[in-house]
Amino acid sequence: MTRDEIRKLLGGYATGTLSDAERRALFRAALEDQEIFDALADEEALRELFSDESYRRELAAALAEQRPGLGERLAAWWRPAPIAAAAAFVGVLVVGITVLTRPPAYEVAMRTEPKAAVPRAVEKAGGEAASKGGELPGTAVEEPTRQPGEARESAAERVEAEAAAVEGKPQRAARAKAKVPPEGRPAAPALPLAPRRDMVRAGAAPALGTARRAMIAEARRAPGVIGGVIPERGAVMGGSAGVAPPPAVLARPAEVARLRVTVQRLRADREFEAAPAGYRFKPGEVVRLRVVAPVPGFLYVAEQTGGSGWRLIHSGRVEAGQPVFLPARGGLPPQPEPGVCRYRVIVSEEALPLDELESGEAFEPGAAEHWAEVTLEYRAAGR
Amino acid sequence: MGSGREPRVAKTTPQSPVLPTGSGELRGREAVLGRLRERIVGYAASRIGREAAEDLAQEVLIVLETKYPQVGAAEELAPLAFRILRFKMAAWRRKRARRGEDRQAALDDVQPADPAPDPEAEAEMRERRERLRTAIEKLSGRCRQIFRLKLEGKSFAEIQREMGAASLNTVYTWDYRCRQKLLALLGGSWEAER
Repeated sequence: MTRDEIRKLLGGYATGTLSDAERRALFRAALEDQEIFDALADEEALRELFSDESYRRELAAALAEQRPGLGERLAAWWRPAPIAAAAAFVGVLVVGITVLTRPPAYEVAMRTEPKAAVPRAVEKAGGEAASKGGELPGTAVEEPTRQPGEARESAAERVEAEAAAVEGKPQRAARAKAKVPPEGRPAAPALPLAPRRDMVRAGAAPALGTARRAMIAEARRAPGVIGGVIPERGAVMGGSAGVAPPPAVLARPAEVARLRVTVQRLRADREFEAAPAGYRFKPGEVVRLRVVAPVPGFLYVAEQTGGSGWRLIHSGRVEAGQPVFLPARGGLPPQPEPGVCRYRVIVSEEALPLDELESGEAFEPGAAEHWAEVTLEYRAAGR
Repeated sequence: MGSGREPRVAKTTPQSPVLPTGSGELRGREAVLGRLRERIVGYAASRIGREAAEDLAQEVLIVLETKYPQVGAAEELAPLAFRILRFKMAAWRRKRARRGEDRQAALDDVQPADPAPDPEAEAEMRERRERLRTAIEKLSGRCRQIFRLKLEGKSFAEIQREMGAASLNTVYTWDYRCRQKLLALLGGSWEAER
């Protein structure tokens, strides 16, 4: 078999599709060729997933369900077409009738450019109004001095002003006057702008991207509590320099349950107890964290020591209201030297990207997550 | 048979349990292990660095020597090596994530082994399964059929018959292309990069 043919056998490894001869050829080739070996080693991740028989069956069942073909998808796309066409026709009809039944003055205004039409319309109506001894409509449509921040007029309002002037209705024209834009200034759009999609993230944002970090940074500047979660004092009781999460305001109901984090220290009798408030830890002392999540989801814990970056030390499922001890047995690695050790606990209803968390560069909680931070200060005895 | 169970690694130095042979047909378990070591070091060095790669290869070979002394064929040893290598690499990554390089006591060393399933590994596995399912469901037509048949345990020859392909090579090619599509849907790697 050629090398290319051997490479094609790779696809059979993870699923156990290979015959004995194919297996032999593939593995012997892997021993000779580093590239094939590497590809097979990477394939092991896939084989591990497929080795679960129930998962295999589940996937096969999902694949057995026919995905709609191109024809069906096109048909589905065209199905609402007659309705859309009918709606469009009705829309055109309504617009047509509206335009045709408008008074002639409106038509004049519609035809003219705002810049030129207004004086012309005023001129036409001005003589009429003057002959009646009224105020010259020309004053009503003078270019208003726009104050900064003043709302711009819509095209309809401008037309209204022009129409009023043409009809010789100075009061109406005067009312509309203030809304007439300065020369050459473009009219504002009639509809409000849609929010930028790239600034919106639906649901619990699982990624820790720039936008999210910016959101967190913004939230921290505002008063309140991030995620709506008020970390209990218990969360920091164990540390003499406990630091509550920076305040922030984010949309989460105030009545939501709280994330509870407690520091427990190992006593001489090998039992753990909650560290009392103001307790100073000694280097080498064994501690663990007790976490009670407010919602079911995923628990992530990161550690920061000696000014280093955040390092993920735990991730896993968590149930609401059920205490979780970290670690499950024994204590956290003891801090051998005096110093500060911080733990950041995040509970998210959605799984967070482990690769980003493990990189340690972006262990920042998102808006949709509950979190708390614990600071433990280790001091040498007698200090 | 008693001597057959004796770890052969004991006869060689710890750094190099077996000597790599030259190219060509590999004869004997030691020759296969030697070649495996080379490949494991090459693979691990490209993923986690040269220094750790040597240790990792050594650990894999020790497991092969102590737990599978009866296995000698390349086609049996290689898949075993892949499995052990994967566990070792995952453990290495977790260990590194859990503790700093400057910390002497690892979390694993402090607490006794927990017989319960590792929640971290479980969560990770769940995440990977979901990722794969989402990608595989996006496949269409022939690719869905090929993957379904493979997952049902059919061999390439059976797949050829079922799909009416002209030759076995045609099935290999279809499968290769479908895998490329799936890989692209997964962002170029079977598992999220760490």
